[in-house]
Amino acid sequence: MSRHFELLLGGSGGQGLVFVSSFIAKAAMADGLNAAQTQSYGIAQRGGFISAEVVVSDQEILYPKVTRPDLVIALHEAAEPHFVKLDSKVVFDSGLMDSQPRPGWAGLPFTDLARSLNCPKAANLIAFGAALHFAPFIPLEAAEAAARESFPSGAAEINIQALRLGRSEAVKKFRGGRLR
Amino acid sequence: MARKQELIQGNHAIALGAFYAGARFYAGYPITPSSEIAEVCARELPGLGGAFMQMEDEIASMGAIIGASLAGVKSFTATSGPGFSLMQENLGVAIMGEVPVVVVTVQRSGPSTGLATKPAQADLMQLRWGRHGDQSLVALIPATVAECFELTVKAFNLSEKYRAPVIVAPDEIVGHMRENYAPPEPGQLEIVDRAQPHGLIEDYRPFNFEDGAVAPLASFGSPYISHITSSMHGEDGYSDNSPDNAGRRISQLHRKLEKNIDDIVMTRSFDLDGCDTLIVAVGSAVRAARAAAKEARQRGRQVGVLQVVTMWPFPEREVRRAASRAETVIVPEMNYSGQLAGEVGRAAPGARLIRAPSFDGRGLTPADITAVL
Repeated sequence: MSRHFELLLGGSGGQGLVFVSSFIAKAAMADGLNAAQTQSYGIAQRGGFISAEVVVSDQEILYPKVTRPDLVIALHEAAEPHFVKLDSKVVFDSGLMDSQPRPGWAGLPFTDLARSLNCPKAANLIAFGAALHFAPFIPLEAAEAAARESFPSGAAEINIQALRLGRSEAVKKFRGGRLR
Repeated sequence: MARKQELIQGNHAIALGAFYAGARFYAGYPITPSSEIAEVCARELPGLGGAFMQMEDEIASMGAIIGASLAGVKSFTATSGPGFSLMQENLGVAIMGEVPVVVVTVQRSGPSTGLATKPAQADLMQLRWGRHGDQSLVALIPATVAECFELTVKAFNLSEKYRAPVIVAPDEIVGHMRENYAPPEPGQLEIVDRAQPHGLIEDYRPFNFEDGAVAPLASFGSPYISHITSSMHGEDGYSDNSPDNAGRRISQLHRKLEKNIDDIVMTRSFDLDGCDTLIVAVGSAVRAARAAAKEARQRGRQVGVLQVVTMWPFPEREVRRAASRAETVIVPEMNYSGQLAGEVGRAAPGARLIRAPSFDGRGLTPADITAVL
């Protein structure tokens, strides 16, 4: 069985979507997979809807963009209208998005959790950690290895904490509960 | 031992490919979606013993790289549609003066400043015909991060070998995309340096108008004195407006590329054997085409893909040959006007051509192609 996973991320400019989607690609590479990362943004440097896409596979990646997302991460309400019609699991920031309960949508307050680590920037990595609970397409250890390789040691530790916190909060709130 | 895989952006890979090829001078004016190339050059070139110059505009950028190249340094710039338009006049100078330079233009949605951050493939004709006059150049279009690196190396090689500007023209998707790639070791890819003059200084001619010839290019500052002008000149570089000279000059500018077409024209074939449906594509459209073709083959269809790697000179022979075996030829491309389809039709006049255009800034998807399969 070949491994192929497509992840779609949405949020607002400045939330580090390009950063975290690139990091997810590196984490997949640390697990021996091929990875392609793309993004779509407007002309504003801050604010406005931004999407980023990651495709990982143990085969050659023919089309580098997401066609059928296996999982969606939404970090800002700007992303909501773009994602409501998707037939995918959605993990969203319940602290920033006042989202109606929807089947397949799971909220955690990523930004509030990041503040508890004194690192509000890390909300995106907390979301990735949580995503790995709902869709363990790579082991958390691969993400941690990528963090150690990508960041200087102090930053690596905070980022690893963020990944672990995201996953443990997801486990706590959605125990056993992989979505659908 | 296998080289380590890195996650590299297409634009970054273009800069790395240029360094690998020996480029040590970059002059440019940053513009989305090419700015990462300037960014990497500004950071890396000084450490490589090279120089980065931020210019006041793209006209000056072209002028600067022409000058640096004539001083003997492999030189390049990067831009996108609006800046590429400004570069046309001096690109003509580089063609006429036979100055090796590499110009990267990352294609975004136009016309004019258009959708600055969105992809398009609407400058295919501008690559070839953007300048006035009877001229020709080489344009390469990558579809992967690996090709961004390797075609940039190739671009410098062709430019040095044939003393002609070479354009590298990824679309925004390819320029901004990141993929895992292991850049080659030094020495793994061929590197070509321009031929240098030998022999008596007084015998040196900066041009050679023999059929298909390319003269050695002395560097400014070397003992070999040379004069480069954009106006009509003889083999010594000085004014010669005689019809005989003008005819030979214009002919040689074309013939040096025509005679070496096999060295310049590159295509890639995917599952062409026995296919009844052929998809011809460039850039990111190749990725969508290959995904659509794979899906169609899984449904029992015989679909192959021909990737046009060298856009100019256009691979007429390769397209004609592939099209002659197919019942239907599909051309997906990111422009309204059918710029690639027109060339495919010209190369294969009998083909049953179906177009799959996309021009809303979203790029082509496999579904867009499946819809016409």
